[in-house]
Amino acid sequence: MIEYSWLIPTMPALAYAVIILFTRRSKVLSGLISILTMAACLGLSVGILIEVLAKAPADRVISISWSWLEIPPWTAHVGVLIDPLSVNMLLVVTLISLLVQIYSWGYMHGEVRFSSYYSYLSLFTSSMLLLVLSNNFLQIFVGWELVGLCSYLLIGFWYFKPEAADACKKAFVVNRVGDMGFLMGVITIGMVFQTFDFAEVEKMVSTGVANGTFQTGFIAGIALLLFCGAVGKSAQFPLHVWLPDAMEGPTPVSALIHAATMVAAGVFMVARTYSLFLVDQHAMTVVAFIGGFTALFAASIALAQDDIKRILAYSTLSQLGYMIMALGVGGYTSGMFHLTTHACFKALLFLGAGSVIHGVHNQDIWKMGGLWKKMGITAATFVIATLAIAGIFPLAGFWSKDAILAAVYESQIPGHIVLYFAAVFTAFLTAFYMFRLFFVVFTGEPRDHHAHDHAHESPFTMTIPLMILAILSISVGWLNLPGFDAYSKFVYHGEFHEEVFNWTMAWASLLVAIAGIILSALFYYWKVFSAEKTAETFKPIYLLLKNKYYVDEFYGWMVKKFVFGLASICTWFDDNVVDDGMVDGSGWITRKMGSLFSLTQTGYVQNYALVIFGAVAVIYLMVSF
Amino acid sequence: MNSIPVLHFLYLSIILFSIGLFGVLIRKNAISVLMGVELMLNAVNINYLAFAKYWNWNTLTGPVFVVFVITIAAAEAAVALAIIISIYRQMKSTNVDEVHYLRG
Amino acid sequence: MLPVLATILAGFAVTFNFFHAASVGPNALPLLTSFIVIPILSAFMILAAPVQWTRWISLFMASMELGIGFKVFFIFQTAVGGFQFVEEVPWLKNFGINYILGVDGMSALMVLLVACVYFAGSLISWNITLRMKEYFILFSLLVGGVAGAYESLDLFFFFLFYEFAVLPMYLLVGIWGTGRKEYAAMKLTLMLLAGSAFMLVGFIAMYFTSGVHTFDIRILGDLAKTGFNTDFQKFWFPLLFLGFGVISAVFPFHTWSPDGYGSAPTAASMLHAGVLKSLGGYSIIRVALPAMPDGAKFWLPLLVTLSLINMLYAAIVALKQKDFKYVIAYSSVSHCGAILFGICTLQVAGLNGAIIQTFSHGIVAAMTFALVGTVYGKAHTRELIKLGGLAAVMPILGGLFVAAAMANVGLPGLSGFVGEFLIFLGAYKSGYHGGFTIFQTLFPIAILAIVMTAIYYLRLVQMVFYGPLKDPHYKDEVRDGTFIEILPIAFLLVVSLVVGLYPKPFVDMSNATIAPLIEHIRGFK
Repeated sequence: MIEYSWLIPTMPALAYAVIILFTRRSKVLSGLISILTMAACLGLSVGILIEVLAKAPADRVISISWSWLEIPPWTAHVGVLIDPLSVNMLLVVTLISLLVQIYSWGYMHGEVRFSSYYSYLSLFTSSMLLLVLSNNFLQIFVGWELVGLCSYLLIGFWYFKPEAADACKKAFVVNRVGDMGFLMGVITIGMVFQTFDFAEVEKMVSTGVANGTFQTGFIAGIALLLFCGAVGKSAQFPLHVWLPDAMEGPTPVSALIHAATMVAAGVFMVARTYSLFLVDQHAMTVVAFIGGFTALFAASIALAQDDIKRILAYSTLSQLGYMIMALGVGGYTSGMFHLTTHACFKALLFLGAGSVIHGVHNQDIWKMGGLWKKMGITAATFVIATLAIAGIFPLAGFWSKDAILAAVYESQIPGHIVLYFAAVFTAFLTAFYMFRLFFVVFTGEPRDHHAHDHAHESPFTMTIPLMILAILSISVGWLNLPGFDAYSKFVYHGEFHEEVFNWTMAWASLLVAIAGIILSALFYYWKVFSAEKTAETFKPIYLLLKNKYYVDEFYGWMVKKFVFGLASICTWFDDNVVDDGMVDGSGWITRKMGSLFSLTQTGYVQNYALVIFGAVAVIYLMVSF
Repeated sequence: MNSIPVLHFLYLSIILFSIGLFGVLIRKNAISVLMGVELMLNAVNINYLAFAKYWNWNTLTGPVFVVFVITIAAAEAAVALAIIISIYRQMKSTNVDEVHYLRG
Repeated sequence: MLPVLATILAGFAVTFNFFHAASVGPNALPLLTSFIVIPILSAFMILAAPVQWTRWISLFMASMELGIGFKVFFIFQTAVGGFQFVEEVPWLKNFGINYILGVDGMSALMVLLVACVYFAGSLISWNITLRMKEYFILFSLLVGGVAGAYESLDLFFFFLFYEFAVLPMYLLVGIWGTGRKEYAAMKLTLMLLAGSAFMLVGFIAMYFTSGVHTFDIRILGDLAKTGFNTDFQKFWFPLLFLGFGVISAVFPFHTWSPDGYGSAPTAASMLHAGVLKSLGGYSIIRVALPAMPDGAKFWLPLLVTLSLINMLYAAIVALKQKDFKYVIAYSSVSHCGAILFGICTLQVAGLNGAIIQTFSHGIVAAMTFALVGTVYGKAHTRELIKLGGLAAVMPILGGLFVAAAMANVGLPGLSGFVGEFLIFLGAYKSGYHGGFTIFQTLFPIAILAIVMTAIYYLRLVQMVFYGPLKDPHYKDEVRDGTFIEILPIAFLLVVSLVVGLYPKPFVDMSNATIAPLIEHIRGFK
């Protein structure tokens, strides 16, 4: 199977081309092509997994390359790298994409541009798979940018909505800012190591650092440049602003972006280039603290949001912060494991939210309520996902989150205790706001009766993916049951070493999560406390959170003042100084000189005659004396 | 004829040329200007003949030039008069000051 | 639809197949001369034929040209390198002026570029109604001039062909233009001619200083070691650079470009932005660098600064433009800055990047101008404030425009990325000797320009195509692109895609020129 792995990114790309060029008119055909290719990709991925598992752990890395571009001394390759990390990602990406595509069949029913939608989905997944399978820095950058393009197309899918048009532009530009750091990192790598290949760079770094050719600070600088890209794509602070706005796209797309095909790329890239980060502890510390800060920061914002998708978006930010933090403290396996489990339950949450929106045609949670009776399957699967993200035993989130907490607690970086408490507090907040969302939407009395009467359970194309994801959200964590450890024996960096599950810490975090749920229930289920009054009491804080710490406003102000201010100055300069001043000015000087000299041309013949005789006389005098 | 020194011819020529130049520069009537030009040409002719007589009559260079000048002067006068007539038709005037369309 | 395709195929097949048999061997047909002759012949045929045949003749001849372009591209032997298909005819032998044509890897790419843009331009002008005959005649002559300039190996003929190309442009802008067309035509022509005056003086200086009194580029390039001493190079390089720089709109001589392109008819902007403008960077690599490497090195800091100003400044100014086409024009200036930046690196990667970027910019700028022209033809306005939501009525054109924007932005998979990436690689390499140099210091500026490009292109997409439909009349009046409008744009997109997906043959080809050139430059100091 491995020799056919190049088909995995190629097939969806071909599906894109076929749909765009030929089958655009037929919705059914386009959708089927897209879904079937994705199923084939999933099949291939499973085949590869089986094949890789059959090998001894030392032989599990297979790299195949083709030459793409040759400029001595560089050769840029396209290639495929199969190792446990990429197999893990392959499965996540293809599985989530397949489920999202099946789900979209129901969700996008009646959409005029149904075929275009499916073609973009295919391209999106294809780009992500290209990125995942990449064996060199250049190709990962290519996939990286293509993912950005597809997110642009999909977030702006309903381009006639001004918000969508803004959001897709924002997503692309913010990503681009991060990508430029990434590009500089890639170019520096090409420069220093004269190759883009992951394995070769890794080897050169380890030998180079050992014999003192490279200073660790230099490698750390490269790692941090690469990390800029991850900050953009995985929406870490300060480049997180695009992700919450990205919900302007169709909801299945949000599920895809948040779970599998986009934001995971940043985490994956850090994991892929992990050896560069490991060289210097400062780089690791920066990564860990950015992750930890984002986790807490986003969780606090999520407390005060009203839009169902926006709450989920901030929870994604927060969970991504967790993963980045895990990688930063050396918890490679736990970070990737959380990525995997998170993909399942976050996809489920978004698809569930989509199902709700499909039912009530609204996104404001305060216009929903009591939907449990109307939308049984959606509600049941949603509660499973909520429990999973809150980290309740024995669902998926419990195992992966506790692995991260343990990794943070046991790490060696300075200030890890601060990070640990921030992470635990984030877990508490996560449980609180996720159950706030759940209680408000699904329990209690309906708030908007018109919407409630209209609400209905979604068609089976939508509920079946929900059920599959629910099963996964429960069970994926069991891959890493203490003592069984199938996952950590498969995906690890460097040498495998047994990790002992820390039960004390696990129970502690479970208690924290339950505390969060209970507090949430007191507010929103039993209504012992009033949310409104609390918000009124802490009004400044509430407003700060509701307005997302005013980061968007700050960026907007910066762009307006600096970028457009500079643009105004330059445009003025170009119009007035360069164009009117220099260019038209030189024309003006020429014309003025012309009119000056034309004064000698009086038109009077006798003047000319006088000048001629005068000139002759002058010449005569000059010659004679 | 040999008794008249060459200088006298030159004086005559200078006087004639100056009168012609004066006419060209001062007179406003185009016909008068043209007459001035003719006078200047004739002054030149006198010079040619005088020098030819006193230095070298054999090659006939001077007289031949004079014949050419007279011929061309005639042609020029014809063309010039034609132009003056058409200007007069256009502008009802032969005043050279009024004809300055070529002014820059 | 069918007659058009049949004409294209017929034209393409005629040259592509015919020359296959005839292009090798001692009695080979003059491939390069016919590349110049076909457009000029096309002009004469259009002149003689009835007016209703005009566009068919033009299309047929352009397809033939395309056939030759591909032929040259395919049978050029990259491994052999050097100048190939050389044709030499003594012209004024005593003065060292000879008709010499030949292509190396770099100009073979340019020949392909000329052919592609000519072909697309012929199609995009399909619906011209005003004085159609004259339009196509001038357009064909323009192509003939450009083609000659790219193929000439003799500076005299290079200059001749270049001037030959500028003059039809004047009429094309002046007669078929829009807006302040007379002003724009005058400005464009005068600035370009002023630039070419510097160029000519430089050529003549080289001619006399060389000692052998020749205009042959191949000989002049080799004279850098013996003929042109350092002082000569230091003095004359800036003049040549100025002359070539005006052609590729280097700051502060760029203002002809927005005004000119803003007013020019679509096909003329395509050809000028895509092909004629690229001549500036091309000639620096072809003439100035080989003959005056020391001069280039001496003036490098200034040139780098200028090119970076070009990149960033034009990108920033583009952000504030109110006219659809002006944004594209400034973007073209910005991309030419990137080309100059690549040249300034004096590195294998950077120069290859510059050539690939030249090719890519030619294709992509032509595609973008074609789109703008088509949209303008339907919406009847180019003011951004009046446009909006057009994707609803013209989804295909909207999609193509997003693709064009992405190609401009330098998205991987399209041609722009390859060039930009190589330029950056070269820029970085140029400074990399352990310490920081001018390049690494200025590097972030270049990167910033790329981000700005993304901002203004996406702003453009948003203002023109996204959002609600601003003018409700468009709902009924405006239709999506027809087959004949889509075809040239799609064709250019495919070319860009091919370069982006598999750049190896293109880069190998440009490297056939660059690798020896860099060796040559390295020989100094």
